[in-house]
Amino acid sequence: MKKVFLILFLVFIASCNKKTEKVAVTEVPEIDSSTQTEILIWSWDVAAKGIAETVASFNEKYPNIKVNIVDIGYTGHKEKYSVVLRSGEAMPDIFMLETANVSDFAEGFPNRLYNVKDSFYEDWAKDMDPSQMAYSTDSVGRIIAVPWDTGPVVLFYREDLLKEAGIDPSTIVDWNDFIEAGKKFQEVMPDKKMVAYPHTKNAAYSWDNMNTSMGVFPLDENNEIAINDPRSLEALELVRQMVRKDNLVYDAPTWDTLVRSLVDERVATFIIGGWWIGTLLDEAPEQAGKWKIMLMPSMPGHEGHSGSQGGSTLLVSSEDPVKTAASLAFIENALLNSENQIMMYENYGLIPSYLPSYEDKRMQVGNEYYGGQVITEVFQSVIANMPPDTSKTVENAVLNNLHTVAYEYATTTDEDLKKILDDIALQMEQSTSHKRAFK
Amino acid sequence: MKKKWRPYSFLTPYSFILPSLILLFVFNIYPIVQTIALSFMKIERGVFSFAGIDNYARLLSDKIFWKALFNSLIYLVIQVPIMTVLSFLLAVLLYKGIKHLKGIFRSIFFIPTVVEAVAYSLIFLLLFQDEGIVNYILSLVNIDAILWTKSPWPARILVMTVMTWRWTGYNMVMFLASCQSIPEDLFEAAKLDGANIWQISWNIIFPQVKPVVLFSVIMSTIGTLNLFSEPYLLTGGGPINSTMSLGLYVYRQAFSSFNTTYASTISIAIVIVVAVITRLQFLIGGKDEK
Repeated sequence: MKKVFLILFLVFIASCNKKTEKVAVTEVPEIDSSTQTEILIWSWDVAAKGIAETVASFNEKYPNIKVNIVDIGYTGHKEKYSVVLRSGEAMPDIFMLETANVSDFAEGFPNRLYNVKDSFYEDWAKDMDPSQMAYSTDSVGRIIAVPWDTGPVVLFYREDLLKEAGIDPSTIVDWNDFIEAGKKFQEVMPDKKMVAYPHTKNAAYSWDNMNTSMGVFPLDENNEIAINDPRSLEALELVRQMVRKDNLVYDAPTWDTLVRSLVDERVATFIIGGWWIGTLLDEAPEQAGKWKIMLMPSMPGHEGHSGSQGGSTLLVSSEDPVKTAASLAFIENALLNSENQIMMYENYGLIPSYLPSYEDKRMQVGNEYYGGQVITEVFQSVIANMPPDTSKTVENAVLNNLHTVAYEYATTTDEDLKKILDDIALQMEQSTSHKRAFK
Repeated sequence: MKKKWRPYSFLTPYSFILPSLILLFVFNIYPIVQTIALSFMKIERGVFSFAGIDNYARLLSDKIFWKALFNSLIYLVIQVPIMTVLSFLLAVLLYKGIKHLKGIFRSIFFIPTVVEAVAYSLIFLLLFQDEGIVNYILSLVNIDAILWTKSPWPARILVMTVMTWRWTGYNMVMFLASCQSIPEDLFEAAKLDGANIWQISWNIIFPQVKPVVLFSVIMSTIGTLNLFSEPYLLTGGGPINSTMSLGLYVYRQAFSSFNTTYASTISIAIVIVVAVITRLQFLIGGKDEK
């Protein structure tokens, strides 16, 4: 028996040794039209279709590089990535990731991801949406993700319904104006609501946007917990007022119910990422001409109107130098390229992170669905004024969980909001390695 | 006859058990030791290093862990007894209560066990949605709509309902199999003494199937503390972490936060909790067996 314990103890000691993941490719060779290889890309849904349409133009330059795109589906994609990156086996050469999740992977698997900082033309990063780039850079200054599309939050409103209710949209400047307009709207149209979103379980549609517009994020620039920042409390008070006091929100807990609220014409507005344009076009073509877009309301006493919801990136995880070079060339062709970005915007509603795209005339024409409004101007304005979230963490899952808990308390109970936020900040400190900025 | 001398004959028995030992080491011993080792380490930017008892200190002050443990114990205290009693009653009913269509009923009760978790979760979410059939039925008896997935206790009740629906038939089959090994003369003697079905159930069937009941309760305890599918698919652990289970928390730490070291610490804590509760169950339920 003693021998068995001795063996187990030795295994234990061996397991406790310092371990480091093997480092992926650091230098890549030059490639040209004669380079022969194959690359594997993991993506999902509409984005997978969009990126597939860029392959033809890539193969014009590199005819001997075969591009395989696998739609791995959205559900469980993070888990799939984490398993292959942890094991280092069966990894794709390029994989797609939502911008908000980049930090987890950048800090969790730094040795698996290729630093693309010097991989394209000089200062390419300056041509990208700064708020998206902030997520692409890790805590030691490496750039490990190339922004693809972005999610500027705007106010979609039914011009006809607001007019019928006697509301002039141009008077909605801050959230107090929005609430007053909502109350007036629901008096005139009691069978409809002012706005729809998953009001009991998802802070991304209200509280997060309000905070972002003020430059407040769950972690501040020093990576300290800022959920109980007084400005965050102000925003949460407005959220509670809209949901519990004035009852202005149509609860759409799932994507399907959100789309249903659009199709059934149950609401006057959506405050949501600009990618919603694709949904409007696909699901409510008969409502063309009734919708318009404007800036999201600002927080009372604050100037900012910019919120961010969504956006995605491409990361390189190839283990082979030639495949890495091919992957970088593919990304440059797909994302650092106005033609392809505009194609993906027009065909799939993916709003480009690549800013030079907006200088193209095709991006400056009026959109028929919105009664001829140049909607990209609104997107550009949001992008240009978006405060970047520069915090870095690998503990997003725990922080997000507690963040949602705070939101759920605020929207489903009448407990004191300051106490809720202080308690949650303390829980965040106890459950993660981050300290509180506000004690 | 003189025995032929074989210098390595002592190795023969070891060679027979070697394949099993290798599998046992690779799939059981090594992961367990590795989990224990990881629980004393930390990971920073892909590099593991020794962290002493930091993870355990964090666990003690981690409110999500305590809430998940509380939720798991709630499931254990409420759902496991209800399910066990239901399983036992159904087993008795099928064994002695009904005479016809036993096979069909047995299949009907067992079917939930083989249904895919995603499929039945979607069905239950439809039934229990705000404007679903369950709230409609409640409205017929003047009960206000219950927000099953948005309020803490209703969400817990939903999770426990689904667990009970799924596992009652499975336990029933185990009890039924055990019932069928009870000697028939015990029942004949009871009948001659004029015992009713309740007396037969409590005084004959239950003592005979008690070891299986104890086994079932212990397995249910382990399953409850490792519970994952139902809270993950039905409520995502919410609202306000009210349905977060220890199993789901381990998963979140390991695969969403990539914090495998802390996830290992929680796993070790689960093992300790399971060991303590199982020991208690043996002390309470198994004392007559000595």
